[in-house]
Amino acid sequence: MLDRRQFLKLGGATAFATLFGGCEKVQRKLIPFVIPPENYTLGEALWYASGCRQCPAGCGVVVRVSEGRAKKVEGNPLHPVNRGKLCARGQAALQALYHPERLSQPMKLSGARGSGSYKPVSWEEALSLLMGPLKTVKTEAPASLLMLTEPMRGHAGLVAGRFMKAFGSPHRVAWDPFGPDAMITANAAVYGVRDLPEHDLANTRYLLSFSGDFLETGISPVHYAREFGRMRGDRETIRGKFLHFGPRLSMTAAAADLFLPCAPGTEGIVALGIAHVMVRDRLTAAASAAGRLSDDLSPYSPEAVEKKTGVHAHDIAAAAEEFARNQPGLAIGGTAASTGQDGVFHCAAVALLNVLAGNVGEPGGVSFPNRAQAFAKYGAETPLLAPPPESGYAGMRAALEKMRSGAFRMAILSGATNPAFTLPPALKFVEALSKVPFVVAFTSFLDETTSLADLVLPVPTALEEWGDDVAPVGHAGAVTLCQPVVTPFHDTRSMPDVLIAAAKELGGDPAKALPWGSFRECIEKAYGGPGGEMEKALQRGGFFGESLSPRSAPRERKTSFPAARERDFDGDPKAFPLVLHLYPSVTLYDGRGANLPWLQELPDPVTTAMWRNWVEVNPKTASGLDLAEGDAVTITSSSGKIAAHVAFNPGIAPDVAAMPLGQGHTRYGKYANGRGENPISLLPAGETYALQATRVALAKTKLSTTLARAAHPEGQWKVKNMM
Amino acid sequence: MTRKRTHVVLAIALLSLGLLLTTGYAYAAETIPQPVAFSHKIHVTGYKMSCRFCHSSTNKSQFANLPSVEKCMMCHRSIATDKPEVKKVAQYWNGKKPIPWNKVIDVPNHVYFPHRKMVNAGIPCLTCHPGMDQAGTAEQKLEFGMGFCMECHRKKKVSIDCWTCHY
Amino acid sequence: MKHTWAMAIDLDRCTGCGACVVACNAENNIPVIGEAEAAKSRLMHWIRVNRYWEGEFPEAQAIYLPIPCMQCERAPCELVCPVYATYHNEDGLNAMVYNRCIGTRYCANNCPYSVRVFNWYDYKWEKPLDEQLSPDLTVRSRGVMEKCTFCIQRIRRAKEAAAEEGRGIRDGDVVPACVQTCPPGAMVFGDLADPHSEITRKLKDPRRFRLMEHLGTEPRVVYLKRQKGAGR
Repeated sequence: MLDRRQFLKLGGATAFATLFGGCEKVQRKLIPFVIPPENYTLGEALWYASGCRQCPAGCGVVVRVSEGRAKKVEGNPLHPVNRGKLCARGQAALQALYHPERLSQPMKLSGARGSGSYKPVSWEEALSLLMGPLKTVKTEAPASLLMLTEPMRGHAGLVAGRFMKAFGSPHRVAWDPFGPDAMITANAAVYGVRDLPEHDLANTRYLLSFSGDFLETGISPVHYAREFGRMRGDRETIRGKFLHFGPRLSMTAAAADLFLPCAPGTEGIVALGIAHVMVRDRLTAAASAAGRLSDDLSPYSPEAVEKKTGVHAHDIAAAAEEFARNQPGLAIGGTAASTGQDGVFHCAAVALLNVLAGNVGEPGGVSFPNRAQAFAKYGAETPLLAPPPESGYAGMRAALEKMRSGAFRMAILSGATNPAFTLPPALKFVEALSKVPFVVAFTSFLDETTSLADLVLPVPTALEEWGDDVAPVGHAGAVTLCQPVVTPFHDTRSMPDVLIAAAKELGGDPAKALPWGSFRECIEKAYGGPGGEMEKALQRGGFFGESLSPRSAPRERKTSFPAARERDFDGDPKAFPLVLHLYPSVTLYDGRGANLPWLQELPDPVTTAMWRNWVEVNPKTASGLDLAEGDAVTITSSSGKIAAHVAFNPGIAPDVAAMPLGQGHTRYGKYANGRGENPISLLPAGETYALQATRVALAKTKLSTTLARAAHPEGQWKVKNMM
Repeated sequence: MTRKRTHVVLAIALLSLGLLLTTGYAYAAETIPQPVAFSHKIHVTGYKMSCRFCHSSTNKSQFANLPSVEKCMMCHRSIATDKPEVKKVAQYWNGKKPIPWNKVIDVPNHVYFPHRKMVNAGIPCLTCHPGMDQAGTAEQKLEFGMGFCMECHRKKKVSIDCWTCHY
Repeated sequence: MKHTWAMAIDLDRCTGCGACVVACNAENNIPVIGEAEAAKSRLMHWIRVNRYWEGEFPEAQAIYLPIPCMQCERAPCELVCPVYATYHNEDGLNAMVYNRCIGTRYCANNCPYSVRVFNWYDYKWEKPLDEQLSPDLTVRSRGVMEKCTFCIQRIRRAKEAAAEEGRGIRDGDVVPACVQTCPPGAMVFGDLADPHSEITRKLKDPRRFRLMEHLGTEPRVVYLKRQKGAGR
């Protein structure tokens, strides 16, 4: 009947038909609940309030949770610090929660230290691996336990502090590369209060910024940005004038009405120049009353300041006059000045301007609410909760010395501040840590520091754990309550929980000091829960607005400020003609955001570069070195050498080269690794964590990579009629 | 018939068979088996239970939920416990496992279909799910093509803006 | 009830921080494309922040311009779609229907603001990053154009809630993700058809201007010029 040819034709037709028939329907399952949660409607999202904690600013968030998954983070509208607003880093917190490289179980080192090869173990085994050395150290030499974390606030800080005290070790080190310790010390000298003030930007008429980065990364960027918006737009006829002094046109400087460049590291000198004019010419009542300072200020005449800083003498005088005439005026510093070689001096100079303006305790000026009053019941332990006990750079160096001398038998590491990445390699952190026989790390991710541990214990991300927080600024005694917005996604245990369990097993003083069953119980006991007031507070996001009386204004006292110490920048000016200015990245902060794809792909506000770091140079400097946009250069200092692509910044001083911090990871996962080199390696093992006190030289080179930019380099010059 | 014509007819027949076997049309005619032989007829027509007793989120969210095992056990803790299908439900309940139902009713991709809008507008469930009250195992008798939706939308003079449903 | 959605962006308040960009990514299931594709200008961001330089050191200035879809009343993109996948809807929004789009990219070519982005690939979310995807919104596949929608999913939800309560939409019911998160409060969104809404008041400001107005696209996104000096 059918011959082969016909059969093939027909077979082909059928096969062809099957193609056209379309795909078979894939059978899908519908899985109901066994017991549905209370008050739950399928498909309707629930919002949970918690704390953001992606940076130290302490904003409050509400998280949209749909079917047990966190979908969106928004600012908590009730929270006094950010009032419903949230920055890019806060929005990206979800990518940390659902990150593919999160640690899902405890890990034990299965190779040489630093090899990065780990073997997963159960929590039982991990805890026994922890308790063994812990018990031995407690019996034999309790003071040889080191705890190195980022600054811990709230009851997590209390648990850690009590644990160390009961254990018998005074070695608790808190490292934050952008820690405000210099600011706090300066404030103690000038204002008589050892704390960060509230800067009332919303009501000020004149804002002087000294390398201020308060709109991008400094202290509490969302809070300050909101206040800045209010300063510009919420008053009918007042907009405020904003002057920025600094070596670089940063994102914050771009919002200024006038950018007055000054040499790196001279911010405090400019401030004192303005102070000099205010006192000399008796421009304000407070300045007239401060006549006793004229001797201290006499070296800072506008002409002398111009020589040191590059700011024109007439600009200094004009700024002083305008500042005094447009009261209330406000002076604010920034990370570059406060982490400088003479951070305390620079911060004190800026603070002095507020005193001379007479704005202390006034609207539009600085004030000192009693933020820690919520923890007054803890008495002497209050500093464990807020503000954070900062060890600062000096404390970090001392700890490194002790590590090297073999003083520590065990180290507990935690936190996102990653000292192996944020400290200059010249300080030899890795080598020092190698002298500690047993290292335990509490972390959600492996990074340069935690991958040096012998035992890695996975912790939940901030959105998955209980806790509380006190923000450094932006409120008058508010406490943020943090709760898990979703069931922890991996088999994790928070650090306070593990410490509480460890204390119980150690018995004796530690068990007495940490008497709770869990950290959740600790929080509930502290806040009168579960249920009752705490329940209401959890729904709001914390205890807000019930502020007690503000701290009494500092009494009239002789305002002292530390003298400047002349320090040379590292590097011979002839060999290294440019000054390196390193700054926190608005997308990656200190590098902790580098493993989050949304942040890597967010174009930098100043250069629009993504996925890689760069070195900013003035176009004239670049042409002098025969460099075009995107060309590669080596950047050499006396301590190191790296390579990066060039990005022009027309607003940077010709003798300054700037680089953002945050890239250059080698052990932080595939989104973070290999995106340029870490500019911290250019810094010397200095006495201070000075981010703009190193000289460098640039030389043209070749790199196989390109710098991805969102903006076309030519198009970015075409603007008209937007101002 | 000529040989050629026979081949043409055969080709068309095979083509149709191919299409028939592989498109949803053939598929939809079959009843999709379920892990438990729940009968809508018994519960809805027999016991006069309202649709919303089990499908409680239909007027509150975009999804019509399936009842939880707990909801089944509300009655079947004591009712009809000797029936083999009810015993299966009890098994799932005791094992704390959800019943893995197979999806019967589906709306095509890229369509936002909020049940609550339909239900709150007073559209009876049987309009789109005809015969469900008489069905043994659940069946979707109507094919949800865009024409079906548009006909009713036009008749009731509600929005036919693309962005009402496709975003 | 007809609405006339519009947005105002105050350049005097915008600091260029980019929070709006990441908030939009999170809200709208926007894929991350990676370094190689980013270098080819294939960013999928629905809102971008343009930065312009003016002058040179020491008088250099930078000014930021966030650019979402302008939702033009006379949109050049709507005229050229061969399959009517983009059109002007009843609320004055430029609607983009993904399932109609066949990927000619003519609309993107016509857009003077370059706000339309194309799915060159089937972008994948590495597990478990896909747990974050919003169920309220399509995840687009390869070959489809997309752009800012003024958060149509939020507009829908607000309309549903209002209809259920038997009322109209109040000012402040609809807040797109970018507007909600903007820390300096530079963005305002609302219904121009409502005479008492904040947006209606904002658009009376003499500082207002629109991008490339001479092209006659009648954008619904209005900018307020940045100011100089201490007074207003």
